[in-house]
Order: sequence, then C-alpha cells, then structure tokens
Amino acid sequence: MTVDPLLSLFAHETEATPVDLTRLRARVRAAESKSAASSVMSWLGLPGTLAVGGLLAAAATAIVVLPGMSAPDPLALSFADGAAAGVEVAPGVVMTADGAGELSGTETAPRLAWASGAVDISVEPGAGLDVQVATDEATVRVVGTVFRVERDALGTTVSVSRGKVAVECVDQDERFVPAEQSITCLPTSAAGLLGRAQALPPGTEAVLAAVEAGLASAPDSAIQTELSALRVDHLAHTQQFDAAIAAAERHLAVPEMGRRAEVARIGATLAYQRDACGSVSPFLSELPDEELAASALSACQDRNATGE
Amino acid sequence: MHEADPNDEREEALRSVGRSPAPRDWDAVRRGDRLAINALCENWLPTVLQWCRRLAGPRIDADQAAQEVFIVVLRRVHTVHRAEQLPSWMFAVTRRVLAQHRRRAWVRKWIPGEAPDIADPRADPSRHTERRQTARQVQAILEQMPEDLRAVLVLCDVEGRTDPEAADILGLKVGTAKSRLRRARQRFKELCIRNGLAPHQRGGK
Repeated sequence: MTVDPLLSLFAHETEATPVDLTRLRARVRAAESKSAASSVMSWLGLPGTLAVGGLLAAAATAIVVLPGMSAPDPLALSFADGAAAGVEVAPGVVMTADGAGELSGTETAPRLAWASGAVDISVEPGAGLDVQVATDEATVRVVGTVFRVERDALGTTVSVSRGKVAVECVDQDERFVPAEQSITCLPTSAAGLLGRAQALPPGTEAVLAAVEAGLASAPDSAIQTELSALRVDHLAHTQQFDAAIAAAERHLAVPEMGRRAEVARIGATLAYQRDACGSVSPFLSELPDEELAASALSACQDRNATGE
Repeated sequence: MHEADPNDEREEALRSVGRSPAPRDWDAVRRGDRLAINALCENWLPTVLQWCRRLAGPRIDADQAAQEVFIVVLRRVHTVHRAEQLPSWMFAVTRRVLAQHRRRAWVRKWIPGEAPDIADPRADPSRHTERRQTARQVQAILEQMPEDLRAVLVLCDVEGRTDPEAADILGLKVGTAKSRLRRARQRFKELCIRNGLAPHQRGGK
C-alpha cells in the first residue's frame, strides 16, 4: 500500500530536529528541577559538586545542554527563561542573560540563537573572536564590543554600548550600528507581525502598518483571522468608520475567517450609526443570535418601508 | 572486509530509537537507577515529541505535552513490569497527557480572548510556507478523526511502523489493527476531499 503523500509531507514537517530535542531536553530539565534539584544533576550527567560549584552556580538558570549523555561541551549552553548574570561562555565573551536562548559554536566563534528577553554581551576587543547572535528577525555580528540584544513581541532591538556591530535584519542589507545607538528589526512572519500589532500601544498608526504587512504574508487562516479582526477593531477605535465598515465586509466575505460574530457586531453598529438601516443587513445575518438578528432586521425593514 | 556505512549506522540508530532497552539496562531502570532512566528518556525524546506533534490537534502545545510526558516517565517508568511493555506504556502515557491537554483546550476555547491556535515554536513560519500550511491542514484533518483511527494511521502511515508493531503499541490484535488501519485510511481520504485538499496539493513539494 502506498502511503498518502499528504501523510508523508506531514511526517516530514513534524519530524523532531536536533534543535527541537535540545529545547525539549532543556524544558524537561527545567520542569524537573522545580521538584527535585538532585534529578537535574543526574539528568545533566554531572557529579553534584561539580555542577553546584561550577557553571550552574554562576548562572542560576543557565543549563548545560549535553549532546546526548556524553561529556559536557562548554559552548553548548541553554539559557532557560530567567536571569543569569556574568557568565563567561568562552574566553573573552561574557553574557548576562534575562530570557531564553541557546549557545552553540566554538570558543572563538560562539553562536547564540536568542528566542526571547534581553542578553547583554561583552566581547574582548582584539581577541580575534567572531561572535554572532541570531533571532528570527536579525543577525548581529561583532568583533570587540559591548552590546545588548533584546527580543520581544515588537521585534529585535540591538543597542550598542561600546564599539560597533553589524546588524542584518531579515530581507534587508547589513547595517553598522555605532556606540550609543540602537536599531530594531521588525518581525517578518505573519505570526510575528500579529504579535507586534497586539503589543503596540492601541490606536497608533504602527498597529495598522503591522496588520497590513501581516495580512499580506499570512499563510494561515487562524492568523489571518486575528489580523483581519484586529484591523476592524483598530479602524473602529481610531474612528475611521468607513474604512472599518469596509474592513468588516472584507472579513466576512471570506468564509474561512473566524471571529465572525465579533466583527459582525462592530460592522452592524458602525453601519447603523452611519446609514441607519441602509447597510446593516449583511452584518446582522452573521450574528449568532438568530432571533435577535431577525428582529433587528425586521425593525429595519419596517423603518425602510415607512420611510423613517 | 565490509566497512561500516555511515548511512547504515544512521538507519540502525533510527531503528533503535523508541525501542525496548536491553535487559541489563531495563533491570537498572526497574531499580530506579537515574542514569539508566535518563538514557531511556534520551532514546525516547524524538519518538514522544513526534507523537505529540502528530496526535495533538492545532490547539495543543505539543512541546508542552511532550515535556509533561517525560515528567511522568521520569517518575513512573520504574513501575513498568517488562521491557516489552514499554512502547505501549509510553504511548498510553502520551495519549493520556494529550487527552488532558485536549480537555483544557476545549475549556479554553470558551474563554473570550484566548488565541485559537498554538503558534508553531519552530523556525520562522514564513519559510516553507506552503508545506507548513498543508501540514497544518493535515493536522486539522487528523483532529477530526476518531482518536483510535488517528492513532493507528499515525503509527503506520506517518511513522512507517508495521501492523504488528502498531498492534503491539496499541494493545490490539494484529487483525484488529489492520482493519482499523483500513478504516482510518478511508476516513482520512474522505476528510481530505471534504476539507478541500485538492489533488494538486496532495504531493507538496
């Protein structure tokens, strides 16, 4: 029997990669450590005294990630959510982390994949170190400097205290950021842009820009639904009523879109305010309370008939 | 003299993942030996994570579920009597954890303001968008299938296990597993058509 190609694709897309396994290992250890510190020592494959006296003591929440259960590699380090102060991850490279990420690479070329939160990095100048930090939005390359990489829902912000770093935002050219300056790389994925739009102060123009960019690249109907509903809500709250009604109509015109009742309520309210009963009926038909919708529709039809 | 082929070694390593441990290792696990249990967990990491991803619906955080499975394994695996029972025990734990998550997700969806789907924690979702989107559609279709059909389809047609292997994991007779697999394939096909997975999408590059 030939396996359905859709299932083959599904198998491939859901395969566990080494990065996934590293993350899961770290999560299990972190969860287990909450209930039994001794279990963590054992899971790490380290003698308790070494682990306590060494790296773990310096970085409270930094967890050594071992390739399988073999000897520890000093540059395989996972920062779980939390704070780790002044960890010398390689000669001449000191990191203070408050967030989550994974370090790999070699002593002279450390590579930090930073997932969330902030990390301050100090690199000794002139030591021939090639340090790189990557997030979903940016790659930061540095030779001798002090800088901070912060990743949150708004994007990745690189702030340079001393020296100079090269930052390459996704889909953009590399730019140099000198001391005392910072740069923010915006999310590029639909999910990231949705996160940015939700994290921005409501009512600002940047919200709409993030929503529109997200809608342009949204591959997923769930994300598209959220972005489109957010657009309606944003336009209504910034009193762009015509645009909000049009956005609500566009939302409801796509059968796959969710949050229909919520969008329909906004659309119906605005349409009624603008045109009385004139353009309210398409929205009423989307309301989940059919009785209420039918009675509102009937009232509108009566008004139209009597010319009110 | 036959030299070891790295591909053969890799295949062998893949085959050994998620299998029962050797008797000596199993004795150590039964005694509660931490290193032996850790080694066993390490061996099962990919299998359990993949089970969680493949059996969980779009509203469940598969990574979180896998983590919870291993917390149970670390604490309870020494209570499993025989090594041969390990795959079915591991699968049963995974199913129980996923069932708990499914119940929580069911409750969550009635709470206003909750996100409907769990974001994929892996690399940038804009990459390989089409394949990822198709995979999510397949996941949604699997979620619509009865749990027993979904399980046998995932074990046999997604993971490539034989009928006897799947029967062993599911605690079924081989004949039952075979007939269930036939029904699962038929149901999956029907749901694909009903959900508009068009023929041109059925290969995904």
